[in-house]
Amino acid sequence: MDAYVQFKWKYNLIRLGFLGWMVFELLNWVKILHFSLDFSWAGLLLTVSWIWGSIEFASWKLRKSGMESLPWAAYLIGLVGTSWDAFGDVAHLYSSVMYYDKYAHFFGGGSAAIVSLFILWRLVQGGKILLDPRMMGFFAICMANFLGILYELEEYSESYFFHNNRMGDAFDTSTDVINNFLGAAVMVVIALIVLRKKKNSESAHLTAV
Amino acid sequence: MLRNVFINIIRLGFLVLVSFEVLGLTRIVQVDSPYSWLGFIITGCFIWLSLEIVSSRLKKSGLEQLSPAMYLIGLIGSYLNLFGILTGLFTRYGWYDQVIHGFGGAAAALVFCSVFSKLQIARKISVGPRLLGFFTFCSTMLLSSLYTTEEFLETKIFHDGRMGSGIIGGFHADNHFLWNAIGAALVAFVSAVVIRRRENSLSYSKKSLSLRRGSSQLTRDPVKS
Repeated sequence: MDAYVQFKWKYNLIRLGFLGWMVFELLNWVKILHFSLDFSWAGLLLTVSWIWGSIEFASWKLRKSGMESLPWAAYLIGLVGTSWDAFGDVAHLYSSVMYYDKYAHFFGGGSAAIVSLFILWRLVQGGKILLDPRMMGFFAICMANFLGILYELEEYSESYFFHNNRMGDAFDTSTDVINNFLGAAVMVVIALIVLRKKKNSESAHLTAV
Repeated sequence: MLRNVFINIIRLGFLVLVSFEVLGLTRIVQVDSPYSWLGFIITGCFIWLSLEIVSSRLKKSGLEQLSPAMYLIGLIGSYLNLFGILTGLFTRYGWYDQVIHGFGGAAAALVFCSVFSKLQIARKISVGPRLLGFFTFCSTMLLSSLYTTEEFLETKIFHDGRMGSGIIGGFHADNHFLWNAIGAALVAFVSAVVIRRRENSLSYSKKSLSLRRGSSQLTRDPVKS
């Protein structure tokens, strides 16, 4: 049975998490609720919409092309990243906890890289592309890095158009980018080591049989 | 043979460039620069070294090395920096820095596209044209991040104000990303279109060839065959 059908309840539970954040942020943005935060509700809404939307779109495209959907773990990783950001903003952790922003970018970069790796892995499994694990890892890091830069450009646009000081100074932008990259690189290396060990143990098992 | 001649000339060009920049850094050559000489030296050396490493890795894997055109593009990008300093274009026109970054993004994307195409031809990778364009774009943005990281480290270590300060510095960094992305996106898009057309014309040729073979078999005398 297709894993998407088998674990649909997990997918739906995680979707509920995304929806919950979206509704909460929207209600605050239109001033129905009055929670305070460190940055902006528009920024949070854009982030959750983008993350959730991208994961659903990638999953849908994979299924449409006859391949397996993204695993529910990819959805969970996206939700954890979103929650880290949103919770940090609403609970004022960005302003009160030292380096909270840096950890967020490290984890965010790592999450984006893992999800990218899942997408590439599915395409390889489905025979749509041919990439060896190192190239998969390299492109996953590149994709995650690009998403990080998109996020910085979004902050730049918000600051430029709404004058809300969303964007930090030059050091803030650079350290965000560095932490995105480091998070992506570390997570991809760990994932590739795990994949290799799994492959080796599978082939050792087959040889023994 | 001719390839090696061209590449050696380009290598000489890089050597002259880096030497001049070192002379500028050590104030032996008295030329005022709005940006840091160290940054230009690092950029020039990085471009040169990357081209050499990539070419050597391609050769080691039994693939065709980078063409002289790729080396030339790298050299032109590096000289555009120097040209901007010597003519004062960086200080006179704010858009010159943006144009350089746009060119840099495009140049890097061309090199990546060339490398990925060679890997594709050698069947080391197999991806569609759009995905190849996307990978080209993302790989170029990785280089853009590395460049920003270098600016950051230089500013932190040498306090030379390379990054600019405060929120202006933030806009400066994001502006670089934007122009690198524009240059890279243009090249990635065009290369995806070109590769797709080439693949379509190749598959059309294969089809028409097999149709001709098929029809020639039909017209052969069944008794004799």
